[in-house]
Amino acid sequence: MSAQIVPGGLAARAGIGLRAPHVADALASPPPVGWYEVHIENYLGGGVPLRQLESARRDRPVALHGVGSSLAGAEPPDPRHLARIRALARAIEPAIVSEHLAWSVSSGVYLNDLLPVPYTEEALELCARNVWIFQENLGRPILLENPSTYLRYVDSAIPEGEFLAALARRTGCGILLDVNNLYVSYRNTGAEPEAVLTALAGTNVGEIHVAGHAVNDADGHAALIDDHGSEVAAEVWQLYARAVRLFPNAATLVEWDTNLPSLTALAAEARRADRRRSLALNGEDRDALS
Amino acid sequence: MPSLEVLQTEIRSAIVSGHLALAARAIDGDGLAPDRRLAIHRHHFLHTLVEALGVTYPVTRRLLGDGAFTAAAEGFIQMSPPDGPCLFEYGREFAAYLAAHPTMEALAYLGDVCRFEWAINRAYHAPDGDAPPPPDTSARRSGELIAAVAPHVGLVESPYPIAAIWTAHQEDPVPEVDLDQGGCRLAVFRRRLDVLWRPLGPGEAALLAALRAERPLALAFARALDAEPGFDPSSALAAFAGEGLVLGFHLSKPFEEPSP
Repeated sequence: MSAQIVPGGLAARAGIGLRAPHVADALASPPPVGWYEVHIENYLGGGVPLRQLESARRDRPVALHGVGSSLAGAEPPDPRHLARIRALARAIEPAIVSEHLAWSVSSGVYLNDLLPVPYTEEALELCARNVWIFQENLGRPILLENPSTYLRYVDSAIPEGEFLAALARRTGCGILLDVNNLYVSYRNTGAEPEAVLTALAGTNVGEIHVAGHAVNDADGHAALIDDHGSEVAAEVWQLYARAVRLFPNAATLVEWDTNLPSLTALAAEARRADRRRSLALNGEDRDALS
Repeated sequence: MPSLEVLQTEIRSAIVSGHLALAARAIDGDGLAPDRRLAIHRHHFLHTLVEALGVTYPVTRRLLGDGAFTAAAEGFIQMSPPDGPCLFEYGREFAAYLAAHPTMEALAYLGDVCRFEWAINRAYHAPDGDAPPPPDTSARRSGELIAAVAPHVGLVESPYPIAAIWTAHQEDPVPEVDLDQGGCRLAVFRRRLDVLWRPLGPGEAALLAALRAERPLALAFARALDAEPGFDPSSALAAFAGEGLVLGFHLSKPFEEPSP
């Protein structure tokens, strides 16, 4: 697999996750953002959504972001699903293809969630097999995203960052570093963001996600939920600045999935990311964050 | 330590059934009961799938009200969780589930509105379809002629005016619909980016149903004439082709005629 996973130039301007309620507005008047990322599983039918995505692709580079291949599943990915993804990638010629370090399928049931996997040698073997199958199917390397977690398994033995770095070494995949997930996992399970970032230093981090999260109460404990339903939190912007300095060539994407703002407001959040990135690369972000 | 497959089977069972203790042994509670942490995933599973069904069935949701829709959808999700990750393909059997639900009897047309919404969803997501190559009707090749119906075409029949009910529920407040105007047979299909429907007569509906079931043309014509004596199936077929509902024709079974 080639080391070039993300095209040069994509990092210059942040992109946005393009969601169905914004598609008509985006096609009528493309917002001032660098690129779009869409969820693969919404475009595998071939009808109106695919036609619209083909139109959007003429305006901006498009990244395909998978949420349903269950690459951290004990079962190998579904070959029918892989064939549909391959056909979509041929039609769209995406700038990036990415998936999650998560599972969602067991015995033919799809749980519509991104469930964490225990970090064990067995899981590492199976995830590496699945990422390998996924990449072979596409004929290109992908980016794999670190999960947001709400629980830890008693059997987890490998730190998350080392698990991801080992997967990258074994499969040639790059990393999609979601700094909101880093923060959510830290607050929910105590996984130190700095340890993950340090472990990922030798990997190919091609993309950074920023997003908002919700803070819920669970029996007196704060449970952070990765709902992508608000502006990016200050703590997450700080992690973003740190990540940008470590991985200056990574492209940035703003995700927003629930309580969607207007497309204009979403594009403004992407411009905010551009300013944060620029300040971080110039070593000026500490003032900006105060 | 259970294998990853066993662990994921236990967690899947716990999330779908709600019996979260099934998988609690694998979870480090970290100050919380382990099943409280699994409950976050159980909530996500139900909530996001209820929302997905609400996207596919917006008028069904409105007819039932949010509370009753959520209760029915949660029952359906636990009985028939998705078998794949494309949520626009999830929920085909929701109308049948609602029809069997005792509290739904007050809204006799609910199941038919639900089937109509499934046909709209299907037309929206299904591909245009490709016209088959012209059938090879050369010597020594024969078979029954079969129409290729576009994959986005659906057919919904109801003793109630479901298209009028559906259209009324796009407005707020909902205007009154005269249920005595009678039933309808609807072809639901897509033209470029627009999902459309049009009423069919009994002969047209019987013809389209037979064509969608890949019945040979001669049999489809006979079915249409049974349904509506005096019906002109040739004109109806030409109209379907003109509207893009029928893409072309192919021969049913390619077999060689024996040489003389």
